[in-house]
Amino acid sequence: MFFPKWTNKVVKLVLAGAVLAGGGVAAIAGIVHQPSFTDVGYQPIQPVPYSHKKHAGDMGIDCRFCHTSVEQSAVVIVPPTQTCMTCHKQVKADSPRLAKVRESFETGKPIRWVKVHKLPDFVYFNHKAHVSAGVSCVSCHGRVDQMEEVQQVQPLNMSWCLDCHRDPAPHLRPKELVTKLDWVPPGDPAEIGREIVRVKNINPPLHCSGCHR
Amino acid sequence: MGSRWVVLLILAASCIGCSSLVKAHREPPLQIIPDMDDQPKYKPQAAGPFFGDGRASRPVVAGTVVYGLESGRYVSGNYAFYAGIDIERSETFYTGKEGDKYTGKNPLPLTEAVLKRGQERYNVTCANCHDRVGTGQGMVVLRGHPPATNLHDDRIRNMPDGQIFNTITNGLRNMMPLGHQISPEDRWAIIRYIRALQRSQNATLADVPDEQKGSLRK
Repeated sequence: MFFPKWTNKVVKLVLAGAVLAGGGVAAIAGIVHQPSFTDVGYQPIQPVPYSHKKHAGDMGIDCRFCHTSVEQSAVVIVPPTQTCMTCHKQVKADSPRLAKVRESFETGKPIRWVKVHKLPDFVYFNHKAHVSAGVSCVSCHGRVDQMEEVQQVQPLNMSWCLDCHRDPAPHLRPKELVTKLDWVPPGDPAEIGREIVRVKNINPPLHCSGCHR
Repeated sequence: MGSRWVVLLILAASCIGCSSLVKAHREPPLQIIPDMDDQPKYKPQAAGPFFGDGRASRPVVAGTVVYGLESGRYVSGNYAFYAGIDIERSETFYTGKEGDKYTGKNPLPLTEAVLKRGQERYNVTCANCHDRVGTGQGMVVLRGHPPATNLHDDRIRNMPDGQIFNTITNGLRNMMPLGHQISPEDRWAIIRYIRALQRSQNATLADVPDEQKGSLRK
């Protein structure tokens, strides 16, 4: 006999091991690859140490001063360097923290900000539609006005989107308060939202092509 | 041997999982199953290797005529469209000038919708320096920017609308140009609102309607 008898056991052990290992890896991967696991907490290092807390929080500059296109376009722009220089031509004009801003302004080469909230390329999110319905920035981006560095706080995955699309009322507010991140609804948010749903006839799509094309 | 690998694998995977769960992470999110998350296409403002400046979106070529958004009645920031305001898009509308002189006439009508829009845009864009009343004590000034003009100065009150439009568009002295941030119709709406602010700060008893005079306190 070429193989001794005990090798039969080895084969069984290896097979069992493989099944266990494969199952374990698959199970863990299934949990770990959830966006609430992988994406939440993403806080890339930006080329310029810009603080939303200082600008939007302490100084109360409206989101729309820099992110101008939010009410008109599907895509919200990261402001051009020119917008930074509106103030920083004068304020802290020599600060080394702003060296890259000045360089960009002089050369015309854009600053390479790192995108924090990235949706898959097959999702077509429309900022304009959400803002005009009365979904606040804070619903998806969190209290950016309290963040020194921007961090993703919501999973932004499909089931999370659909939670709101199925029942939008608690997440709606009057449109003029959309950029007021610290707004506290005076009463039951669902009730306020239901009135907005009724007046604006809000009916978020639940079909695939609402977000995918 | 097999069980040791299983344990190792489970440990490794849970470490990766927990590290992203516990605190903020600097690395891009882990993509175990990338699906078609990253497609070979450029989104607005994305970086691209083709052009020398690293931008995939191209800057507007000088002399480009805007087609679409601003060319018809459909206006960006389109309150004018929804308010049913038909704006004559002349040279004056975009420059504030009639020939060589600044126009004294605001192309937007004086309506509540225009004032509301002007108020909102003023508070977003101008109030940071000029403050919400217009006295030039905005947050940015308090934090070290050179003083902003008090909009209630006689100089500004007597300034033609077109000249204010030109200042918003192109900037003046310490004020940087804001034309890229505010659409022309919003600039005109802001001017309507500034005029209202000026009236409010220079009001006399005669401006109060008779029926409300009783509620005034001395």
